Amino acid sequence: MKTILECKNLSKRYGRTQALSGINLSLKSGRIIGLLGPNGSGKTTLIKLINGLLTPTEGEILIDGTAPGVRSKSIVSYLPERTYLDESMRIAEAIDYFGDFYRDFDRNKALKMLKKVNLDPSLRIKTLSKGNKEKVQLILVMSRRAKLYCLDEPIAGVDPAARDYILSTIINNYEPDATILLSTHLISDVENILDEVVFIQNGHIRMQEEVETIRDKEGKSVDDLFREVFKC
Amino acid sequence: MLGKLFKHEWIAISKLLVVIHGFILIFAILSRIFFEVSGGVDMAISGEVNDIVEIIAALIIFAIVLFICCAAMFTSVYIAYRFYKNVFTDQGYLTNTLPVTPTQIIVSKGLTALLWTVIDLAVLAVALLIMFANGEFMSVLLPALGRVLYYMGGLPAFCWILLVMILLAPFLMIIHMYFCVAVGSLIPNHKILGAIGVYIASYIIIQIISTIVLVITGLGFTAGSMDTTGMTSAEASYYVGSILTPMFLVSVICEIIAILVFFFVTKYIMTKKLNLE
Repeated sequence: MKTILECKNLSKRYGRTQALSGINLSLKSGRIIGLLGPNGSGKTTLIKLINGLLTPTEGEILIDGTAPGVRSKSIVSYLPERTYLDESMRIAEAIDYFGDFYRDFDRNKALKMLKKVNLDPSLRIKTLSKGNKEKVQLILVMSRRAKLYCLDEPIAGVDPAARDYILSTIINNYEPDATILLSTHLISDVENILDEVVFIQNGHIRMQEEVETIRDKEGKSVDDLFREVFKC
Repeated sequence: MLGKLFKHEWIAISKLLVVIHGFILIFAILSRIFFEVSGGVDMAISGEVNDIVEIIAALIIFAIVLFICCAAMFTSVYIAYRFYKNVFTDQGYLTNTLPVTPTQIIVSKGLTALLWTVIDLAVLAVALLIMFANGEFMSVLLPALGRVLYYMGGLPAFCWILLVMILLAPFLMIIHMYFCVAVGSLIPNHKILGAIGVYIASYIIIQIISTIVLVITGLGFTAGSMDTTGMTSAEASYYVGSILTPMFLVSVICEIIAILVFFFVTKYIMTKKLNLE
């Protein structure tokens, strides 16, 4: 399997705060990977580094062999944990926007998914509820045929029904050879869809393991293992 | 990608600015109709019709001047705010992850802003023409404009340099605002306040630097003590040109340096120091 993401001795410091320390990480294509860790462990920092929103203090990060830049941004589909669309836009305008900038964006797929959740493309984004705004963003992000999907806390702050919708949308709409990196601290909700987990704590990688191996060797669920590793 | 960025920036920024400038033009047309009905601008202002017409005419003139000033100020502030909102707030998570370079983002937004600065000036001129121009005024204005073009061929060098200075001014104004927004974004939790602070500080620094440059080159003193007494007009023109040409040339060079510095600092912050919360 091809390596889609590689971090070599990656560190990020904000002033005196060390957000990530000497991370070495390699992720293969065609996997759904959980980036799991408590709040403030460095999950968002790592995802921002992958997306070029931050620059490393030390080390390097390679996406499909290249440093974050125009090429990497054209193959990474990013869902941040906030509304990043211009809320004065209509949903249809946001679709045009994605269609114009991302060659891998499938407009028809987006329209079908919107129809399925009864969202009229002519609606203005600012008139939508928080849950529907998240659905629109998720639909836009998952309508791309990207090589790497970075989903930062996609199920935080939504009700269980919306969680189910989000997770089913994720697993039903990604390319088989693509990788999904999904950050969350809500393990039990996602563990059934994960192939692999990366535990992160205080800017260090604590563990990178196949979910199957955890179940077989340790005889535990990922949630149990997480509680054990991150016990306060 | 630059074309696509420009297209979307144009659509986004124009929504509000079209409404504001359209309002000014409609107001100008309605005012003109009022003046025409009252017997002309001169009659309305002079109060020869009646006092109420005079008061309304004065209010209309006051209002159009106010609207034009506010629209110009709003256009500048909106250009800066749009850059801040689209690059350094939540929207920045999308803008900065598009497969484009920071240079393309700055250039596309800058060009849109430049175009709107020109449109703003044009709307100002058109609104004033709609309100006040009459046949007599136009019969003077149009030949005068033609004569300006005719005389431009024989303009002395310093006038051309002055023209370059004037043309560079909007570029400088826009990139200066972007620079302030970018540097202000480095201040956590007070990005807008930071941008305003940077604007004031950089404005003062620019004034100090230009004074120092004029003092060092000695051009400021010479220009201040120009005396053309007893010279023929050709001599005076040559004398004034010999002083103003190097002075304006130094100013243009300073303007270009400032534009480049503001551009590269803004680009550096967007590339290396992006501070999205």
